[in-house]
Amino acid sequence: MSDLEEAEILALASQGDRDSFGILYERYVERIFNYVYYRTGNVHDAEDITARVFYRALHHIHNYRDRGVPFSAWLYRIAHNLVANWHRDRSRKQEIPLTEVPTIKYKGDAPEQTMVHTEEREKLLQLIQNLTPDRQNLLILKFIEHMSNSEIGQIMGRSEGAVKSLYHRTLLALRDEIGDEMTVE
Amino acid sequence: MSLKEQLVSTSKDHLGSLETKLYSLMKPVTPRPEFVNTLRQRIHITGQPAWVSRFNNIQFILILVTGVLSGVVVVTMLARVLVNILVSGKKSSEIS
Repeated sequence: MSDLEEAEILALASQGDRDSFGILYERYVERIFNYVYYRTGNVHDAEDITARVFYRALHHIHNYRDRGVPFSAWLYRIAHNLVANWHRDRSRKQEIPLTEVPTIKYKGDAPEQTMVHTEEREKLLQLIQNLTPDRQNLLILKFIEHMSNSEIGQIMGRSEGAVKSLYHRTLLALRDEIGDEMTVE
Repeated sequence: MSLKEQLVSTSKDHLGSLETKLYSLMKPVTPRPEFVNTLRQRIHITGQPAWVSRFNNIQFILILVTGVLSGVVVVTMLARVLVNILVSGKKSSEIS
């Protein structure tokens, strides 16, 4: 069943077929988790929001219409809205320090590299989170998902040229933000 | 090379090294397997029944509103019948 074309799986899922939705879940859970993790910067909230993305998708998939953009764009849009709500709510509430934070495994890092990179990553995550949501989305889709400008454009609802221009401005903004905080060899 | 070209070139080099840095630090992460498995099970259990998917939100609201209005009409009619019975019963007892 997992070999079916995405359109067929989507058609079945939108008719209430849970197994088909399960296939979509398997395909996208890591990508959505990555997106949310880099937008929130912590594992607890990333898990909570990722779960809510899929619950929302499950309850609204019958409304999904293929308008020429990939299904992933629809999921990213849900994730984007929930992350925006999370940022809004967090600014109203006081933060509660977490006593036990689950560890996260970075793909492609050797154990000794993980230790070296941890501090730099934390700083980078903070800097990225200071960027506008659009710029954060762009960096995540480009560096985590390794998407082309055209694919990013489909998800963000922009032209390829606009994505390219936004990317350049994002790098410039990030370079200015980095300043003395991190050394760029 | 003019000063402007030198500046552009330096800026490009700088952005290039920033990109390299981003590639080395922004790595995909793996969610905890317990989280992925638990969520998979929850989604499977709490999946909506098939009949729900046949209606979209507007259809659902229309059906709900129609149902409520029909209920109100039925309750009003029953109330009127009940009042009529009570009134006619009272009148007949007064006449007798």
